[in-house]
Amino acid sequence: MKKIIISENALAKLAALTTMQCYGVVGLVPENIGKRFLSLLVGDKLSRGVDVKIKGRQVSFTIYVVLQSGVKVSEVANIIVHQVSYKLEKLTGLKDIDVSVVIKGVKREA
Amino acid sequence: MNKLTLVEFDRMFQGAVANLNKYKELVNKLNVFPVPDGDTGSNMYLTLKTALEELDKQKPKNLKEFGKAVCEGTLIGGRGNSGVILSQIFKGFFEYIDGKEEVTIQEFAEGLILSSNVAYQAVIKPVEGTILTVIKSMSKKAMFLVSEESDFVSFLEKVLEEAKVALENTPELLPVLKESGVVDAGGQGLVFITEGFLYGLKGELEITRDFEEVVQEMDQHISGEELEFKYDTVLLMEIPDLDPDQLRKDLEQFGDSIVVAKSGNLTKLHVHSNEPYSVIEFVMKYGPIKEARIENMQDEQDAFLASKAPAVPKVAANRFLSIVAVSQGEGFDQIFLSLGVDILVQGGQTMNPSINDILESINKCTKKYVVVLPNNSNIILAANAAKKLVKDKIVEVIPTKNMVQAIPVILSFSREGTFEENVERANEILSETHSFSVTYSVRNTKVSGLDMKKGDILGLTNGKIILKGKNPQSVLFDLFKKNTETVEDCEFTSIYYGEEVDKKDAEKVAKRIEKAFPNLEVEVVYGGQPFYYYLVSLE
Repeated sequence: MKKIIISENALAKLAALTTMQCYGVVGLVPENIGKRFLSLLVGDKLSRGVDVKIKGRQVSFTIYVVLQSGVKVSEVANIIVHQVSYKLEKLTGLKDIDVSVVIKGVKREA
Repeated sequence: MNKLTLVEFDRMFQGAVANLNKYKELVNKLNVFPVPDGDTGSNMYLTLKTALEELDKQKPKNLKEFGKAVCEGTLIGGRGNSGVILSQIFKGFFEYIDGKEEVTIQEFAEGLILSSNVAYQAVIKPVEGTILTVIKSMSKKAMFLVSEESDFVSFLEKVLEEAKVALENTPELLPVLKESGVVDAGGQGLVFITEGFLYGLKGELEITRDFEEVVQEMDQHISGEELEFKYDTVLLMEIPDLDPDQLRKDLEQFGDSIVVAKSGNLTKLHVHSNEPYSVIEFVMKYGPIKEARIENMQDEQDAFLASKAPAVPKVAANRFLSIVAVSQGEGFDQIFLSLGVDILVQGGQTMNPSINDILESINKCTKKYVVVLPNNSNIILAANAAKKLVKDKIVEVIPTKNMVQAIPVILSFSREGTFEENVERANEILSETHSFSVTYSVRNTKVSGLDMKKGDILGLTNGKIILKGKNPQSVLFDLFKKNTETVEDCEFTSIYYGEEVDKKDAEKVAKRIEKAFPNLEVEVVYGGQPFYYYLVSLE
């Protein structure tokens, strides 16, 4: 009998790293943060920008992102959903993955 | 030529759209996976096409407006990753060009640098070996060429060459490409676009957009009756000073669907009328005709109607819910309709319907409860997104991954029980249904330890490649043999053969399977699906 346990934190990190690679994403932010302190997460804290909920066999991710202004926001969100569910399914073998994206901010063009 | 103006830009852009349209299937096939399910080419094409439609709508009078229309169009129409990147590339370029009426080689090159910068700006960890690498190499080369080139054609030729070199190099930068032995699909798309610019600039590509638009229009309001206006007339004219609105009004006496599009000295006229000769006589007063095309739309319509399959009698849909299913292949269309599917959405492998396509179909349904069957793993997300946009209906998506899975699901719906119970039962049935499929590899690659050559026949169980062979029939038989345990648990199997398969071959292999598994009931049905020789469901 084998048993593999993947922690919520590991799942969150995987989702966060995948999101960071998506085109149009500038960064992740934690869920609860005042508008005035919108600072991007870096390094090990990255996974705080992802909420993981496990219910039976279903894993739900909610990802809080900041996007580049001037890109089609809805399409980028779609790409994130697609990429995260694809990568997570491939890397962990989980089947029932649910991804939501919350756009917390938009970064002004440089 | 050492300067570009609105006229050249317009031609270049049309060239790009036409060239990409020609090669989009090729780009689709570069997706990094052996089963043909890519859509990068289609996505890029649709992105550019929206921009073209925007141009037709806004009819820009100067380069500033042209840039604005292209940027807006690619932004709104941006589909998929490559589409979004493309919109950034155009944005960077036209922001730099902003306000200029003539663009020199130097300015064009600097615009490309801006394109590349803006495209890179929107991603924290740029992946090299993609469309980004290609645009970067192009812009660098362009800057390098500024001092030595004075002619735009030879300048663009050299930029294109550099783009091709950068594209060839993408597998060295991105291991996943190398493993599959392909170049990057988005990068390839950009090369085709650049090539189209060049063709457009040289005036070498036939531009066919008007025709396509007319066909689309016809699709929408087609019915069996006689057309009010029979002849579709398209004229390209040289009218230096013209009031398009006045001409539009004047042409109304001849017919309808009037379009007057002006670009520089050239004017394009489009009229549906019964007397094309009167139209020509009338407009000759304004200036010389450069090109003319007249088509009989009645013929086109008759041909179009004849090509449509005769309507299939619907099973009296005695249900309280409407079903929307994504379908590909005429056999499956008929099967779904005969099972009482209310609305079919055309699409599947290589041709994913958009969220909007699905949304519109849901809105067409007459009943309050709607079930959507996406029938492809790539469409499930779009179906779920469409579900969230529906306001006045209750929608559920049953995540069917191929068309054969949908059939037992549809059969499971009944009047008994609530909508929720029906959905629950459908999901249960879905988890108990197994599916096999037989398709072919579109290129040499390696997946799950199998070394595949282009053209090899692949056998998949529940979406996973498990074996390969040379003949679709024997691969199908091997699939049954390899999954003996699963097969013996099931009582019933349906084999749907695709458009490329002969009925006799399908029946032969069905006999073999019946012999090997005497407890199994085998049914052979024509599915007519592309890409897959066989789709099989086991219950």
